[in-house]
Amino acid sequence: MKNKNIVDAIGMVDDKMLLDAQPNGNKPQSRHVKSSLMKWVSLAACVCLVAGIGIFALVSKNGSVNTSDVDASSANGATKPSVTDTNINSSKFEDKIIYFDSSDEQEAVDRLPKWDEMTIEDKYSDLKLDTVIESEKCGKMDMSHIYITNSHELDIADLGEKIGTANVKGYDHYEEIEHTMYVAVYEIKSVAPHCAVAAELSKGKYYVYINHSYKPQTLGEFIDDLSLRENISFGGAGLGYFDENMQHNQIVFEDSIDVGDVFDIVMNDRSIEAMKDYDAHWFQSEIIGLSVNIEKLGYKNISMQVTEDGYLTTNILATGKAFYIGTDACYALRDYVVDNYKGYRLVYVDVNDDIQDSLNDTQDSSSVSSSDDSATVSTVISQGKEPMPE
Amino acid sequence: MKDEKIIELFFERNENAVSQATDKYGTCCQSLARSILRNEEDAKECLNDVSHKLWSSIPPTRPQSLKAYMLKLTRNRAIDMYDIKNAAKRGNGETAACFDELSECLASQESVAESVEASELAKVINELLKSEKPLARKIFLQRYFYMLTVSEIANANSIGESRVKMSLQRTRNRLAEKLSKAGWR
Repeated sequence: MKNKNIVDAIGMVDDKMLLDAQPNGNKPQSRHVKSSLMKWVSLAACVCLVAGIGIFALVSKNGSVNTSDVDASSANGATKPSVTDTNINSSKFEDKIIYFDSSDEQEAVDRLPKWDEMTIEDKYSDLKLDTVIESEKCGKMDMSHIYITNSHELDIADLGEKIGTANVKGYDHYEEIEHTMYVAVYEIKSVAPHCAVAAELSKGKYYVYINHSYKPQTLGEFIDDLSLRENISFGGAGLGYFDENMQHNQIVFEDSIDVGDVFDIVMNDRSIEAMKDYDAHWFQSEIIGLSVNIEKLGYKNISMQVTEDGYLTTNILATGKAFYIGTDACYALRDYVVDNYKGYRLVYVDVNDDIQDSLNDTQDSSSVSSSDDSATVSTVISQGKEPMPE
Repeated sequence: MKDEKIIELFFERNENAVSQATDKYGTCCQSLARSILRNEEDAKECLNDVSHKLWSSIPPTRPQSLKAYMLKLTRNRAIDMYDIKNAAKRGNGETAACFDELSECLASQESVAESVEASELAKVINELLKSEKPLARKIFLQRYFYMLTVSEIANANSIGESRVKMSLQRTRNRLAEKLSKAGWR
């Protein structure tokens, strides 16, 4: 191991900081999204921040971008900033003004609920099956995975065959007691049981548990295991880019994107292998991101995106998955959404600033990239109160 | 049973001390070992070793927080086990990636790196982490103490993976800067 001392030094950090940082049993926290717009607003803000910082640092004194520096930043593992993209006609997007409050505390963390305050599906976070089963969908398979609750009650119509029984475990972080319960486990219709199962936590009520360590071999396997064509829907899309005037634009598309078209553009080559070292790879900037719903499993507003280095990536089933589909397919998805759906260009105004000044500033800066006759829609948000998109 | 009582059992050389301690904190320790070793059997073996180490180290040690003490023992033991098992294929896997990211903060020359005491480094790291925002501190420790993957951290904190990566990059940069000022880089 290189420089083991620094690894050992991390093991000596203060007890309090260490315990404060303790993950909650790898269980993903519940997310509640009030509207698709809010999600894309947050996404766009994030893209703007990352790309903005990169570009700001790279713009030379005469105002031009030094592309050799852009490449160097990528080689060092930093997120590569979006580059100028003149293929998008900025004038086709209407402006949507987003009021936000920069004084909001953004680091606030919710209190961990006490055991009695939690719902049964949140209490019992882990499920472990130690068995080999014969699945109708996938044949004989080893089921010795740890499944994590997705805090979602399964529609009874989606309940499949019984697989067996298992212990579910939960941990009371206040009393520091582990709770276990013996439950019946079922398949979920049209979902491979090594991806997700349902557990009967109370009489007649079944809850979804996800195998976070699921790793498909190919894109085709991923599609088939989750019957994605049947089970997925897209809630909208968002993209960020710099136009020819180096003005950063954040565009949201609120209408549902057609599933069949997305499959045809980016998911038609089923033989593409899944990336094996997802967590070690630093992807280049996102070209466009789609909001993903798999209602059967309780997924709302998670994400699928294409990147400038040609990858289709997603966090379906909680852990990252990536497939190299090539840059042509990635940009084809961006062009398809831009050409076929109504997009809004987001303009941010801080409520703490003088409103009139902010509007004047915004109009000055936006005039270089948007048409004079574009309509303006106004929305108020309180930034920092909404969850970031996954 | 309260931590103080369990520690008293150790000092009384009562063998129930070990089972009380592992009943109470075994799950979180095993979870940490699993994150480092990525193998359930190894994680169990690690927890077993930690039980022995608890028995042999208390007394004389009287930990302020039994849980933090056990987590630290677990991490140390799991990293040792990881080193042994991966000696032949160094550079592979998530844990190796974690170590490599951290190593970049320190000098690449072995002579410099080896001359720095871990306890001195720990002081600098503690100082840095105290000055970080709570979320950045949490993300850093979840990655480099608890050895979670980027996507596990993103899930645990309900944030995007890009935000996790960005936060880690920034904290590492600040750590490298501090180490550089101390002449260790």
